[in-house]
Amino acid sequence: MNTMSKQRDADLEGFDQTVRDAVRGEASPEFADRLRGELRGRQARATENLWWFDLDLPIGTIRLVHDEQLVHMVDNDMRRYELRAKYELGFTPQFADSKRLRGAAEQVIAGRRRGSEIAFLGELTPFQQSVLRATARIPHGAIRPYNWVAREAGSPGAVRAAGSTLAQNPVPFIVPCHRVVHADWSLGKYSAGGPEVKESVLKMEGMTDHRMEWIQHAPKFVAQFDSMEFCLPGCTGLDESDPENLKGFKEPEAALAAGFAPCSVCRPI
Amino acid sequence: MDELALITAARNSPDAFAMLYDRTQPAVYRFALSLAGDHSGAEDLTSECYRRALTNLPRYEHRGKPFEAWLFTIVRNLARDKGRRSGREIPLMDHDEPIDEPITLELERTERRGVVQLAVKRLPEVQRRVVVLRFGHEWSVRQVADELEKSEAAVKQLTYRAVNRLRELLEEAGYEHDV
Repeated sequence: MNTMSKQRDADLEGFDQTVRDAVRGEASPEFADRLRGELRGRQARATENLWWFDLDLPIGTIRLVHDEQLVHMVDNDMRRYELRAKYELGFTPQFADSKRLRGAAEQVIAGRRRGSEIAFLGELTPFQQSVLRATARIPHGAIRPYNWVAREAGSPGAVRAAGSTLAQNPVPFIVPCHRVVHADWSLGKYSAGGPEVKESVLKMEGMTDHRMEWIQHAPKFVAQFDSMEFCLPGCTGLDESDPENLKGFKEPEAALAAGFAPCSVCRPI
Repeated sequence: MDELALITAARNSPDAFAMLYDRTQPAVYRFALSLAGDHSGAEDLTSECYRRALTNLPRYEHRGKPFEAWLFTIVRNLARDKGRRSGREIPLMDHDEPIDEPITLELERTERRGVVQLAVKRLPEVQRRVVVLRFGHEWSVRQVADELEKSEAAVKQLTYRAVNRLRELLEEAGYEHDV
């Protein structure tokens, strides 16, 4: 915050947010940035100002279509990419590297940055955008069920709609739809090449067969004594190496009654 | 770059359109907020306004008015359309004109913002101008001082009085602050 707005805030001390906002009338920076990206992206699509570059990952090469600030399309299958460019964009982008965006995409894939910050989602419905933004909040190395994503997107009943949104994710790897699995923690489908590819992407992020099996056989909620919090089994905050430190619960109420707080990362309830 | 050149460039360049957006967004948002009454409504109006502006930019004709005036017209039409669809008129709040009527609004949650705007309108002329310029138009103390031909100290003093008067007016109106 700059000195000027600090001074303004000091002048308005003692007033609540409604008063401050009413006299100030400023858009939130998040909203202003998001709309800016959306408009810039829409205009880039309309004026055919989109480009591509490839990223080499341990699981193969992925192609990113971008407008120099946001990523519009990602694909790991070049034949499907050609078709998507033709039908979703209506033109074939040319090659153009973007050092800044390449670096940002690498950070997203390494889990050091949230993918929704660099994804163009402007052509999607508000519900679809919420689903992908919720998915982008799943940490690197963690997994979550479809119903968790639906709930986090603000529509707990829309589990199927969340699933079909993820199946059509325009920017896989950037928005990590591979981290969303069935309620019984079995992997489920993956549009970028089926369950085997989903598994190899999760393994690239540190998931092991041993941990996967542990998650699938774990109780519905797992509490930890050292943090006094309870989590979903797919949470990266859980350290399953010391079983003495863990306690399972079938119902969240029981965990709460036993004095455990819900984990703020995996938000089990 | 002058505005007309920027508008022409924005028809083919995403960066130029983004620049046009950066220049106009604070004013458009503030205008949308005055019509919608809350931030979620203002965000909807602002987003839709620029989406339409993007689509209709090729048909935009410059007739000597600032580009913002065209955007304001889009916002006004959107707000009217929205009001018609939801079956109620949206009151036009423009705190550049003073009024004297007492505040007798019911303190419904959705009307809280309206009460604040009415309170701003009831401030004495010079105090109201200070509030609108300092907080609404985000001017610095220096800029407000120049505009009102007063010293910076006088503007600070006026801000202090205006804020206190606003507090009293809100209390009279039964406004309860959120904690």
